[in-house]
Amino acid sequence: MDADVIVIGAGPAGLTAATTAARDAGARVVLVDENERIGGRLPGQLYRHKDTWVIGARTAERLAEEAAEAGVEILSGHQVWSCEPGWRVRLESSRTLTAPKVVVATGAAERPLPMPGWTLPGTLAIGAVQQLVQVQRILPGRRVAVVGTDPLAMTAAEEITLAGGEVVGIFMPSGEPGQHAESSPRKVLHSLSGFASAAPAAWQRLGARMLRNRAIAAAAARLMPPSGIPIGEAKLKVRHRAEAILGAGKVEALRIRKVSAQGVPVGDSREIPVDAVCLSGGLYPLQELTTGNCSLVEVPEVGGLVPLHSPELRTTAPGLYVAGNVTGIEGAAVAERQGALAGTALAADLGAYRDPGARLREAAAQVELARAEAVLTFLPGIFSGRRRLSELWEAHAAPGSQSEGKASDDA
Amino acid sequence: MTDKRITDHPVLGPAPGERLTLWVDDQEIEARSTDTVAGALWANGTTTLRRSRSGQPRGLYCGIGHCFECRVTIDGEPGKRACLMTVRQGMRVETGTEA
Repeated sequence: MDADVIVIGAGPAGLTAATTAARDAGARVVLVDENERIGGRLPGQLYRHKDTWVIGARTAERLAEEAAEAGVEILSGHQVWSCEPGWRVRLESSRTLTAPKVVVATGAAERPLPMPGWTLPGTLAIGAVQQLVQVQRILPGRRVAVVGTDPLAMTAAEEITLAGGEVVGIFMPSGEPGQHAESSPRKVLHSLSGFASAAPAAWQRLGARMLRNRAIAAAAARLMPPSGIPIGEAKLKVRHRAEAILGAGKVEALRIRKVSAQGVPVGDSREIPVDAVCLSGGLYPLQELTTGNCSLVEVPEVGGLVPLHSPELRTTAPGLYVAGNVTGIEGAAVAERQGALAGTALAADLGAYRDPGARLREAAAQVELARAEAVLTFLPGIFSGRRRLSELWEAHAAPGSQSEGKASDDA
Repeated sequence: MTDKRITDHPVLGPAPGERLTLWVDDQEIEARSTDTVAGALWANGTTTLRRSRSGQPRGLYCGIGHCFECRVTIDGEPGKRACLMTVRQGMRVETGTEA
């Protein structure tokens, strides 16, 4: 065995899981990540919370320091090709790492938002924008259009204007097949309630809370001015949808069209000159390394297919733990606490604590606290989704349960 | 440096990293040590990184190593994801060579 524990993914969840296992159990921990830079998506994150800025790069630095102090061996710039029971983790370099325990903290990826012209260079997903602007200090363009209606689209627009770029608007997706995002202004206003605590102005916070009520959201969509809702310096154009990205060899314009409150196109389309378009289709948990190793369940409220897991983040496979967005789409603060919880469960399983129950309860309470205090709620149904996952685990673990002790193929 | 560079960010402060140069399709370009290959090319106005099998231009898209649209040849090694590779002084990058 190369280590006691292999952690895959050096974002907030993986870093904290590795640190906790190394520190509490004295375990030999190897942390693997395909990025050369540590921190996962943290270094790209920047958003306003009340009167302060939450800077992901600072959190990443702190977590990386804590991992180094705990003696975690970090293998950055190493892509994992497979993970097999035993556990054997194969790297791109043909090297194979082995350990009795593994934590999968691979996070999430963006759902594509396919539309005509979206393969033109100059069309970027939100992750690319965050990496360019916050990490490398490069603007995606001088005049940028954002398409999408989730909190990430709003924060990306703010990040671009803050850095000196112009955002011509945040537009609705066209709602064509293959797009998962909401395209009806009514539904979008309802889903925007998750953005409430990050909305910059008090009236916006109030407005966003009211929008949780579907009837108010429907009324608001009818009254919404075509000029849009201010999101920082940018405007959310709930009454305009993006129909096509245009250009010869690269992005040169976005074609938009006015829509009714129900999302039905009205009037002629027009073209807005831009040099970049940012598409935001939302996030989904990445299961490449859990698939085939443990039971997976489809829970749309947490973002899709996720591993069936115990409250302490153990999966149905012995020695396989999960933490962070691989278990459902939430913010970095929740992922960080989940990492600590998975690391605590791991350390408990290695016999590190005199009273493991108390340590696990405390770590689980920290996850709940982070969840309750989340600045950005990515999915409006996250709490009911988490409850559903707990019920599924209880049903799985109950004495006499059909699936007890073996991995079923719910996926 | 180009007009896409953010020299002084109002929250994050001055851009980090040292200036360096690399070769892109036999042309020398300037970059910063914190750039990825994709970022350096983007800032220098090179948006097309490769061509699809039917000849359509492709460039940086997801920025996190997932979509594989930004594949370039780096120091003779094909199929490298430009969004994951950090630039190094004297690095040689070839674009548009891979289907």
